[in-house]
Amino acid sequence: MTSQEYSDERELKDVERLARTLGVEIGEVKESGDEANFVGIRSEQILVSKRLDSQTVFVHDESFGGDGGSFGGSDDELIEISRRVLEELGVPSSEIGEPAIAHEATQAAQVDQEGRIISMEDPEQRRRVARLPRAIEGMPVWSSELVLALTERGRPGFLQLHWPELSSEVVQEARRLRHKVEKGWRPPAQPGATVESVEAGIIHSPAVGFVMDVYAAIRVIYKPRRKTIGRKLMLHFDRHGKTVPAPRQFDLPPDQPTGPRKKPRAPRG
Amino acid sequence: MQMWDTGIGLTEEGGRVPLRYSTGCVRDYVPNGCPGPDLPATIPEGANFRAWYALGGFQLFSRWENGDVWGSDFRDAGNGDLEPNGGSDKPEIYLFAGHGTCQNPPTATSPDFIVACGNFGDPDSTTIGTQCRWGNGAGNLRFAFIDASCPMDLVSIRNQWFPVFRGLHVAVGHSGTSTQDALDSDVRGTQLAAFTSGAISWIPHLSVGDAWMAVGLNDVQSGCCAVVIAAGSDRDDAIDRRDREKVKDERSDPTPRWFAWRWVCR
Repeated sequence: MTSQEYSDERELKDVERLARTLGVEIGEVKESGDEANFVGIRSEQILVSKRLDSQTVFVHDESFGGDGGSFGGSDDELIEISRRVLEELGVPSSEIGEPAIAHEATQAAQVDQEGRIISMEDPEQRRRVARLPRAIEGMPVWSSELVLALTERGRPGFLQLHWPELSSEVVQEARRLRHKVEKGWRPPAQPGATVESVEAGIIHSPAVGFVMDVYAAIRVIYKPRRKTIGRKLMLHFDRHGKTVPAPRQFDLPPDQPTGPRKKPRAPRG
Repeated sequence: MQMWDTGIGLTEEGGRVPLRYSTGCVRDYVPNGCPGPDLPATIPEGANFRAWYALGGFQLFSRWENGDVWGSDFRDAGNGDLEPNGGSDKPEIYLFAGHGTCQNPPTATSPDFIVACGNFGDPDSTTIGTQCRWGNGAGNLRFAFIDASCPMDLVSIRNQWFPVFRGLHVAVGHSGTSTQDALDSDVRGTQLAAFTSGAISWIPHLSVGDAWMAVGLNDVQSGCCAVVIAAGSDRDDAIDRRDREKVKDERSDPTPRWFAWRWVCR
């Protein structure tokens, strides 16, 4: 490989090639460059960017949903296009989990000065978003996903692909954890909650971030004993039953403690 | 000294000031005698949210955790939401991460809640529709990010959220039940911040609505819906704010004559 293959110009050409591969009609590139662990190109309306440390790609068309319209084809067509995107990017079809189409809906209402409803419109279906999850040998990779919404012309209006490489060691550890679960591994009890589900898989840092942590883990969802309390506890355990660290987005120093918060003074008199 | 124009932060000299953000994150419920379980992901969620907004050039107003997040911070009564050190109506942007309350299922008259576990400012539970009024009087809140359970149920949105908008621009939350719930995760709030803060030019800089539709379904159960609602002076204004308003837009506060909302379900 010559030094030209690693030049800035070559890198930006690769991003342009990526855009074409994804079916993006980027037009005239107005801006290009890199910042932190991201590199990208931008036209008047469209951004295409990727991470430098992970198979993570973003496409955003500013006109999408407005002038850009949204895809009128069937759900199956949208899924098929999504699968082709993954294929073009070298993702093995064996890693694609059960695809889903999420349907966005909208509604509006008018009120008077006293807040009384004057009119309430019916909900309308809006755009559809394909969500293709990832699974390895049936084990979920919870943090990986392709999210794709297409314009009226079938071009990416919004695309987020987050599909980082996983080491064979992490995958092997996930297999071990699945074996433990199948053999009756019991999660630690948590105050105020009971176990709802237990499953082995892989978690990693989310799409937008500056670091990439990857862990094999057993995901345990706990349901509150008091049924009305919401936001369910979800913990990830390693083989020793200890919680794995939350995959980071930043390499942050520990926060300085705050508090105790000063209570307001009681009014005099 | 600062004074506020219609939605734009200006000093008396006419210089711009950065918008302010606050986080109220509650992990500890059980140790403080509240119904649990505890929610460990709320703390890194708040930390990462703040990191993104700091990188985006915003100014931290307050960052209370656990018992220092008071129920009164969210209530208009007695100016609790204008408490100088942490009221939710003091900054322009507020993230709450903690418990909510879900009905099974909710009805059109079911209330939505924010549930803290404070060492002051009781009660811990705030009924959004009757007790939250954001952007009124001296209030500044423009963007309310409520990452709890079922704080924005679709069936009751008109009763619970229309009255809340008194200057507020956009709010996000979830609609669900106790079996279609949001899970304790730091991903939603932090990725919302990543996409809305404009911190890095090569990360898509999305409107609040688009960002929540993109990230709000992370770590939620099947049937749970991510919801965004905006107010506007007319129909086009409400829809435009719901779909296109970015945190950095510096739009003026809407006159809430129209509401537009949008949702997507897992």
